Amino acid sequence: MPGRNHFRLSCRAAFGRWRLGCCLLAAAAAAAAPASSPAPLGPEERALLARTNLFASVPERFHATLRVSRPDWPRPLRVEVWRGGREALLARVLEPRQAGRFLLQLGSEHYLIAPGARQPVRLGAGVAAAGPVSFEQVLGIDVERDFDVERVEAGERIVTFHLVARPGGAAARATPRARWTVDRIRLRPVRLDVVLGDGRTSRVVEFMSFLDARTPMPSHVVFKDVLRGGPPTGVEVERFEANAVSEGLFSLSDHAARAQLPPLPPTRLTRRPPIREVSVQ
Amino acid sequence: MAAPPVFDARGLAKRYRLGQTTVEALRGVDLRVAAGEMLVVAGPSGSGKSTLLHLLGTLDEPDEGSLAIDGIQTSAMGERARTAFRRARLGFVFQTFNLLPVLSAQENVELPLWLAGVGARERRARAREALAEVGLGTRLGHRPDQLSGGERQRVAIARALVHRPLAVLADEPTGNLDSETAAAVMDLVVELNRASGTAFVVATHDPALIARAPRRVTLRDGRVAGDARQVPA
Amino acid sequence: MRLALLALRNLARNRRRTAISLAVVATGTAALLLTAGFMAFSFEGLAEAMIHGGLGHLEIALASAAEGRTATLERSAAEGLDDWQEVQARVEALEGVLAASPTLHVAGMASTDSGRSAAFLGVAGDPVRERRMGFSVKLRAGQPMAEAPPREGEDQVMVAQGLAQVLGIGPGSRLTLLAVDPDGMLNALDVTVAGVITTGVQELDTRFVRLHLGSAQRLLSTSRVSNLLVTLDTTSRTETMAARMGELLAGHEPPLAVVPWTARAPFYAQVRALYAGIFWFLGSIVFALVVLATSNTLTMTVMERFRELGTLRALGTSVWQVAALVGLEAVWLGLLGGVAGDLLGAGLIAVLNGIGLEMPPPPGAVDPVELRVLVVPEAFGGAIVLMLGVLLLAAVGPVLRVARLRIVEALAHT
Repeated sequence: MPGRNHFRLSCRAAFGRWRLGCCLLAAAAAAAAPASSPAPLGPEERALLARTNLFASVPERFHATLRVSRPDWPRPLRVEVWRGGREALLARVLEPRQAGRFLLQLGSEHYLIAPGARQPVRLGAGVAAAGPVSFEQVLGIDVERDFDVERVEAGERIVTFHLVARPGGAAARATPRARWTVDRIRLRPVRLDVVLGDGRTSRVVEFMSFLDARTPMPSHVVFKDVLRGGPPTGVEVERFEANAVSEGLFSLSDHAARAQLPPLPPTRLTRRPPIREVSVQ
Repeated sequence: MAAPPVFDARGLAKRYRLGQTTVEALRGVDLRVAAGEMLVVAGPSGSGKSTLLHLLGTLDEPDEGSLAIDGIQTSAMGERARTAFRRARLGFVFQTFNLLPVLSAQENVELPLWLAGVGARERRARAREALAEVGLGTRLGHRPDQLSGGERQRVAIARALVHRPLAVLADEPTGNLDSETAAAVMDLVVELNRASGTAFVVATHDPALIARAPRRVTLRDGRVAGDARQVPA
Repeated sequence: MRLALLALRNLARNRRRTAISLAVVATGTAALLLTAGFMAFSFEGLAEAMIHGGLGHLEIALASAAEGRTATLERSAAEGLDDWQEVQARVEALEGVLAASPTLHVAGMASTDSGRSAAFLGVAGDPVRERRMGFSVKLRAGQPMAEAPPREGEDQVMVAQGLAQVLGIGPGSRLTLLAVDPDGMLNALDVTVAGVITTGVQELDTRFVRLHLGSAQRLLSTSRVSNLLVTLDTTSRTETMAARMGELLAGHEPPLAVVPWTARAPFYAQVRALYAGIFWFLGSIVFALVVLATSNTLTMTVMERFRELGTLRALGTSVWQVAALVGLEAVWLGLLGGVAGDLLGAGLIAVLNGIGLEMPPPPGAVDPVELRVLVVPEAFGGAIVLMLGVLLLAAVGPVLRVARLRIVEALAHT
């Protein structure tokens, strides 16, 4: 039964590696300061927002392997993720000790699936906000569906959308506000600033690079926890497959599909993902 | 060479502060007492008898004048030396007996010997002997409150003599006794003086007692008003 | 004849006054003995409660984990012992060691089927060894968890009563524990509540959970333990055994630390300091009362015997002898009063222990405490010495008065 357990863990730091391990990818940093544009959202900007919305443009079903590293970790962490539509994301850490454990996001709800617990354990908003794997950190945010544009700062190439979560929407609690910075030439997001209700920036996701021109899947992301500090976490895509992902993987009540997953990644990993660097300069 | 006098007092003067006034208790007293001599210091109350005895007994120091006891100048002695001197060379008898109430008659008499460091056995023997001499050989273990006034004073006399002092200073020894007992005590004093060779200086205004002494020194207003030898009654 | 005997006889002169003084000294002595005995009982009780409540006499942990954090009761599994079984075998071979029991600390969230959740602090151990070590669990409901390592799906816990109340659970209830493993990853484990316990400490009771080592290792996906807790046959050997174990484990990589229980229980030192403060405060009051009362008695004794003391001085008694006489009277009062106080104290201790009084729970504790007073031999001797000191202090004034005594005035005193 979904929503069985509800946690309000305060120990955010403890979930750091999960959060970071699953926060995807890459793109370049901000360029020159953009000029302010007081004009309401025009059709061109609306189209730009739509084209840079990774939720819409990245394949709805994919399977990827990520390599997560941080300067203070002894070795990188490898994480396998599956996307099953606009709402569902499943992740697991590829470590023998983590066998059988998954983090599952269904819309705004987050679950831990563990072999020792018969039912998925729902993680409360606090834990979700603290950032175990979530769409927000894999593909940024669904800028069209969950947010209203408050204002736009448009430079020659860089455009920053100041977003406010729609009241009652799925993102309202975790991401009340955000700044979505995009490159209007390459039509890619550059950076996401997650902003708290009081105006402080909580986290920054920098999209350093993308897989290729046709697939707007970030291939290298740098994640920074601005609020707490600490070294940045780099997330690189080792393997990406846009394909049919079994619906059963995202089931809360039936573990069969997940149980059939091999304990380690199904194929030998490529040495390095096919990354095409995107320069914003 | 003749033995030095027991007491050789010259020009002894003593003043006391009494409130705002100064009382001149002694105003230049000269007195010589020979070894083994017995004398009474007579005079009315306030004439300076007790003060003179205190000075002779080194219980107090004169403001003026000098005092030599057995040829030794007391002015040269410190407090500790005076204490040691009293312990070895002088005996005291007080009007109120001043026995230690927690000690038996024998223990009271032993006290000067104990202070002098005499061994226990000798102390006991001499105390018993002294008490026998004053007629209290059977009252050794009695506490002062178990003795009559006369008996207490006899214990006091035994205590004053037990360590064979040079002189005994007795201040009104019969003042608290009835006349019969007083006479008996006086008889004892005279007899002991004769037997022991110890000088006795007795301050009193008791006429009966004065009459029993071979020498009478009369004090008036702190001065020696008379120093007469007489045939004891 | 001796001055001491004379002093004793002088005391006997005014029996009533001496009896009152002796009563004051004896009461003060007895009060100190009772306080010292109660303190000793409290210290011993607290020490044993802490040792057998889960601290053990000694802890063996990674030096890196213990360094600068000796006081903490929580050790991260991330800094745990991998080869703990080997260390355990070596330590348990030592004479005087009852057992070396592994513990694993785990913190996280506990939640129920009905959706209630609360943070928990878990301590996992080996129940068989803990029983051998005399670790006590105060069971309030249900039963102790099974001693054998639990099979998968059969994990049990003992939940402290405050936490059980918050979660609305009791024996037989199901719980899901959520915790972060040494790799920083979340894990969850379903457990059954075997029993409800109390730690004896209110705050801890709202968070505490006891688990079997196997369950905690399953929850944390580790075979490590946080530390080894060692209990000895007697508490007094703690320091020497710590040194021996330190030598035994000297070459271990990574380096190990042997931490005595006192270093891990700052609370104990604080309680000791608090009690010591109370004892000294009470002692000061007793001290002051006895000094005042006996000083008054001794002063009166001197005043009444001015002429007598003057006579002694006239007869050739030295100043110090007369002063010693008064001082010896004080010594007798202290000695006799102290001995009487020791007897009185011993009697009161026997009576109080015989009655078996109970005191309400101390702040932060759960159970009432039985009032017991231990016999502290050092206190019995110490109290007499103290009273001698007190009386000598009380005698200072009278002795100085005697030393300044003028013979002529004293003889004239009526």
